[in-house]
Amino acid sequence: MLELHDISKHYGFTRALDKVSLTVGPGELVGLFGENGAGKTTLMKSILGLTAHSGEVTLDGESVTRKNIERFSFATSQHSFFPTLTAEDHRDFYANHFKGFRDKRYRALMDFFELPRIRALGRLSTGQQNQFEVILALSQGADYILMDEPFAGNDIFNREDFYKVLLGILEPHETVILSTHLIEEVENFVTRAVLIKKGKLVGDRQTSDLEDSGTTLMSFVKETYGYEPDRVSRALDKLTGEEGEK
Amino acid sequence: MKKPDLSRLVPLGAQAEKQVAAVSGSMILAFIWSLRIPVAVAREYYLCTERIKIGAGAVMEEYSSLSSDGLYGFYIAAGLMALLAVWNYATHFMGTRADYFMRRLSSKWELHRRCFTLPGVGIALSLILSVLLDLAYKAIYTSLFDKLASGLI
Repeated sequence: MLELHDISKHYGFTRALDKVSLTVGPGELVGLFGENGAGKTTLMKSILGLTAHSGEVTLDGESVTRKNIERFSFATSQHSFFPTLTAEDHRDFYANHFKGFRDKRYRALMDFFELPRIRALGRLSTGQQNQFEVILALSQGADYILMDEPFAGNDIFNREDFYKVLLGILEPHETVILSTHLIEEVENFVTRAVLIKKGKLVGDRQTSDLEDSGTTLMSFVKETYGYEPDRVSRALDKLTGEEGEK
Repeated sequence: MKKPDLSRLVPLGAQAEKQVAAVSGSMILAFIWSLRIPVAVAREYYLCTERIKIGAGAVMEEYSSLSSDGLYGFYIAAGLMALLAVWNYATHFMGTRADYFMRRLSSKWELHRRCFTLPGVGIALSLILSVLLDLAYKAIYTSLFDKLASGLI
């Protein structure tokens, strides 16, 4: 069980996270949603200890340290692999450093996405690099797989394939926390939706509850975020009105 | 004899041989540059003996003025090693955030070991060699100075 207690983070005078508390259990597929700068990435970095913060992060009751950090993997759109190394170099390094490394899963995913194994990763397309980043995160053998905008730059077919593959390969104890703007695409993938707005946790619902109440994930997000549907028409009216006045 | 695996001492993707060559090469160049000190001492000694031979008095110049910039090569090498350490660390941010990955490893020192070991060895070698060579050159100077002062020439 991953538990976050009152996580806060400031960048200078900017409050990136404001007392966020969250509990994520094994096997959950959590969608982390929010506008740009809402604090999604900072929250993930806080979980992994990649940024200083206040509050406490525990995994099965213990603080996240070097002892249990292996139970987390992280795929980021910024990429955390070494561009001068090949996929096989990474595989070897992961296999040496992570005792739970899933070589069978790694090879299956590499084959599925037809990624070159002996070309420097820096020479692959952005889409391929994203795929490799996610493959590493899924193959590390972690219990908690954190993904921060992993598909930015991938085409829709690629992304859809990925969700299907993910659902097919994940084991019941594996937990995914996925930060993305592609809300409608992941609607059938996530089991829980967590919303962050200006560093605060503003929404947290099981997608099964949303289904039961006949609400779509997008409607839930818009409603919780206070999205005004007539915002565009009002702005256009104002703009065209200004031109008319001239 | 099996060659030691130096790849564990450089960042992933960096060539260990190149960094070892940089460290050892800079030491060799600094050593060659430092040879100007014993050469200057020997020349000074020779000039003094020549002056004594023609009956003129002669006192060897101070060691500090003879050594002047002879050991600067080691200090420059140490500075370059510090830059190498910065470069090694910076490669984890070039087109990637590989530092995120390194900081998620269970081995706390993996990133530090790969970034700082060889440059650290280079800096230590530079400083140790500069001290040892300074002592050795000073010993040569002192023995020649004493020889000259005792009138053995």
